[in-house]
Amino acid sequence: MKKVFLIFYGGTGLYDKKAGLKFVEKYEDIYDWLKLIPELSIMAEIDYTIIDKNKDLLSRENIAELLKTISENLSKYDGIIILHEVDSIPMLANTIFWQIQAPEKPIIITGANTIEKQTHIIPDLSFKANLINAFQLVESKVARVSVIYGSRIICPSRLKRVGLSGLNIFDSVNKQYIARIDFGLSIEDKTYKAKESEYYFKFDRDFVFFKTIPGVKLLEKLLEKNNEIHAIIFEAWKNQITERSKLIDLYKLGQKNNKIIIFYNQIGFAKDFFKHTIITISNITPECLSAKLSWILGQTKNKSQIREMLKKEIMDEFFVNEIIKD
Amino acid sequence: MKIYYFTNLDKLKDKYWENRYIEIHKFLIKNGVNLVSNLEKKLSRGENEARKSISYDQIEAVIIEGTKISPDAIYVIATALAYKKPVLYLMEKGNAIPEQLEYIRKDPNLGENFFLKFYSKNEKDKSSYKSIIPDFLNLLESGSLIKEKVNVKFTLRISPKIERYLTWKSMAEKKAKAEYLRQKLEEIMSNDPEYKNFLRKARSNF
Repeated sequence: MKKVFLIFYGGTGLYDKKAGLKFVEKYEDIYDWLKLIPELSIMAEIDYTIIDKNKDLLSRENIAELLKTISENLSKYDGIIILHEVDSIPMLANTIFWQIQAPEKPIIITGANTIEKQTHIIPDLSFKANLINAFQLVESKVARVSVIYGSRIICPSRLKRVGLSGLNIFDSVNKQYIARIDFGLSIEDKTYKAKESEYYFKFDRDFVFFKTIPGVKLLEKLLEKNNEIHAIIFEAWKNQITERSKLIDLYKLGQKNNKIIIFYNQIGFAKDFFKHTIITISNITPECLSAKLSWILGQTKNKSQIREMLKKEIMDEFFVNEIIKD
Repeated sequence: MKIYYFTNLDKLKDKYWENRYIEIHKFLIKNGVNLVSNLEKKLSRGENEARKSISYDQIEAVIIEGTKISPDAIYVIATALAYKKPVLYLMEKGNAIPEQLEYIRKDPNLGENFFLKFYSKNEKDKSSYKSIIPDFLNLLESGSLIKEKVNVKFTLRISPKIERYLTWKSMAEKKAKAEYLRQKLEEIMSNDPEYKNFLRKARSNF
């Protein structure tokens, strides 16, 4: 029988007709919670732990604890399944994807999409099936970090939230999937070849990510020499109308105060006006870019190394972009 | 009635099992079952792969020929049971029940919808799959296993007097008229000892 390690880190809203909606808030809740899905016990031996999500969902401490828990347990089990709030699954999955590169066993992230309305809570009725599918993915030995929800198994670097509720709330930005599910798993990405596993415990999230260029006063504050911020990412507007001179001024100020300025869009730039100044990045999801930068800053603070690593494809993170839709 | 029929594809190389799986498949089709099966995909060498993806909530039950258990069978059973879909697990007589299936049978929650049946390979025998499968289909059709969907429509003609009462009552109860009537019928059904007896007999005969 396979051995699975379950990490409870939010996203545990399990609906049972008799028991109602049950959450795991503390370690002691897990035993009764698991009894509501007896199907799991016929598929694998289960051990478990909990990450205290109440501290702060994606706090530095929680992520560090999670990475440590994964690294200590992956070799002892056939796979690890992490339950998490669906809202922050893209960020969490990408963080794990960069910090634990090419794991030797499956690391699967899923969760219950419990929607809180003003007067009532809507449970996620597909959660049980998602969890069972996650167990099946452990059996299939797909040694990757992956996200399971609905009928799709997606690599974090391709993950995109596409709906609030429904069978498939996530999609792949380029329609490439690790596998699809109907009455079983159909592995689609058969060409994937893993590199050697590498675990990185250092990460640094002291950077900010803006959808647009904020006001001057805020920018001056962010670019102050002595604050902890290492980098600022600006996402280009869809029509890409941005005052280039303003960005160059920003770059100069950043250069003076040892800050990195990154100009980002998902579609790609026809002309890279800033190739010698601002770092331009495209064809990558925002969550993947954030997690990659966090991982890079954890390894180095050297600006030319950061530029080189950001531009270089390391984990097949860049994708062909024709299919992106908003 | 839409059913998912699952077989152990690893055993298809063995002519004996290939023939058995196909015989059961043909038998189900002959009995008017709208079938989805992992067997079709394999036999057509992937030609059916482009078919529209369907899931467990679109089927009514699962039938497994599991004499030679496949590792995937456990996931199929687990998912079907999680969706509250009845599972008929067929085994040829003379084979031992796998340990995990014993666990399912003994668990009060899981065992309720899991039916493991031994069949004789002699087709003329009373315990052949040709007898077991129709009994299972009858049980499904009796409605005692399947969680019912509210999707049957029919025309009900009522007098203006009843209509007035129904409108008044549904407003007082803050329910739609159809919902109010459904609940009343469910109350009658759940308190009808004769109907309960009829369902009990159908189950015990299987």
